[in-house]
Amino acid sequence: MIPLPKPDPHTRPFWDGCLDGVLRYQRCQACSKVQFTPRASCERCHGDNLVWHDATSLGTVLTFTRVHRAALPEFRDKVPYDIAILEMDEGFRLMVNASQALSSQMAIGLRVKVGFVMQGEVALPIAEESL
Amino acid sequence: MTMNAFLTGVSDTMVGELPGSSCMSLHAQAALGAVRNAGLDLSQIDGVLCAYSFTEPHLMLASVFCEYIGIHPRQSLAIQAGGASACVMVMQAAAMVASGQCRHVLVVTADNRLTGMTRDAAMAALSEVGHPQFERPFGISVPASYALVTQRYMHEYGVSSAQLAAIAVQQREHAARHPQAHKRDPITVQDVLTSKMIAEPLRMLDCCLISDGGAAVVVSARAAVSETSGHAIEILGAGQGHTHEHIVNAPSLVDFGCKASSALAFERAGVTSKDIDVAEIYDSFTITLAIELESIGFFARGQAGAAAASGALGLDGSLPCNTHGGLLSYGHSGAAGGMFHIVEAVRQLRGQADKRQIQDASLAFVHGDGGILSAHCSLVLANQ
Repeated sequence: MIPLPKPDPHTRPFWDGCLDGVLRYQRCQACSKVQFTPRASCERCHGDNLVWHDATSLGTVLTFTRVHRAALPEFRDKVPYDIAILEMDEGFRLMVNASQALSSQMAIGLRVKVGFVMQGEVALPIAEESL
Repeated sequence: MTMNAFLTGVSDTMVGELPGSSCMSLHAQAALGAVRNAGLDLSQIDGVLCAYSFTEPHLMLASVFCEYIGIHPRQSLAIQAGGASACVMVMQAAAMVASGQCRHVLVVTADNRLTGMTRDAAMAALSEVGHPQFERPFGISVPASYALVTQRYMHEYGVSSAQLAAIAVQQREHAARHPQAHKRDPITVQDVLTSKMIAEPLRMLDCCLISDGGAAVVVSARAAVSETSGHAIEILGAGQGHTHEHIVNAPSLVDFGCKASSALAFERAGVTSKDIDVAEIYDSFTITLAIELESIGFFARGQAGAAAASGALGLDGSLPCNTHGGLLSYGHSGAAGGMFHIVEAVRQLRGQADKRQIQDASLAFVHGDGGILSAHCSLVLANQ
């Protein structure tokens, strides 16, 4: 089994959202900082009034790589697979894999929509299709 | 300006495949060599810094080492800053001696990652630096993380794979002049460009080695240098820069802490990048060295690869760089990988670099990078 996320109290809303098909992100109520990865307090003003928002799931490929040599045996039957960092429209960054359909089109600047794929008990975000 | 601290002894073990070695035996060999090189007795060491090990991991590696070698120093602790560890440890040792807490600090790094574990196990252990929830589920590895940076860097600055390959080729040329280097067979740009793809666009020969080996240095207080008989090299300046740990959280994919760390080190030393005679800079991947060389100010943005192709990083070039062959060709043994850069810088400044010697080298720059360009530490060393 691949190393699946183990949600903690501060990331659970994100992973619960993924199971519901919704991509969520934190925003600080005090200073409006959009924050990802999720934390207990704001990385800018350190306030703890962080509110979860639903994202549009739309973003742009900031960078990507096609992995041919996996570091873990659990990923060896998946190579080659794509990893991308997306700049989401709400202003946070997300690491995802790319769907088979998207793989041949991967390029910096590509507009994509994020979907979800089940892995065990967890739904992982994935760059599903281009816009 | 000064840090009031001196490198008085350096030593390294053989590197490469060292059957019969263990993490601690390499620690001991490097440590005893450095103390001897300083002309000191082990009993004169009053501070010990160690880093970390993959093959003999322990919560208190410095205590394990002191027990192994049979010393009871006044201060002993382990430091973990990934590839920046060696430079960070020397900077910390400098603070320990400059503050008067210690006279001679022994800084030791070693691991036997090649024979002490499988390549797969080493790769798997390295991949654990990925964020457990937001990176590792997607199959991230250290090479893949650097590949993400490479792709963006190439996109923004028009750098080509062939230009990056020139960096690997140059370092192999240097390694061929070092009798101890792990990889000495010459390679061409074509070899790099046709080597096995790891994570696009990085290929096998863009990536550092996995080696067994160890290296150690002694850092002495100004007032204690007279107790040593090694050729003392002054730590003129040092600085660090920290921006993130996980690449998904990096504030920028092209600007990293090497800019701040080098600026601090140069400022403290009272010199500029133009004054440097020889540079030994962390090169976990070809892109690592390119980004650092450009961020630190040795070359314009996007120009380091092209400069390497034109010979600028060679022994006769404008900036002789990684004269031992670096992590790409000399060897990479965990925290010792970065320490090899420091040992080579000291040898250059002492005029002991044999076939790799840069004439009249008096000022060296050393740089370490930990994580995914996350933690940076720069040193300016001088033969005063």
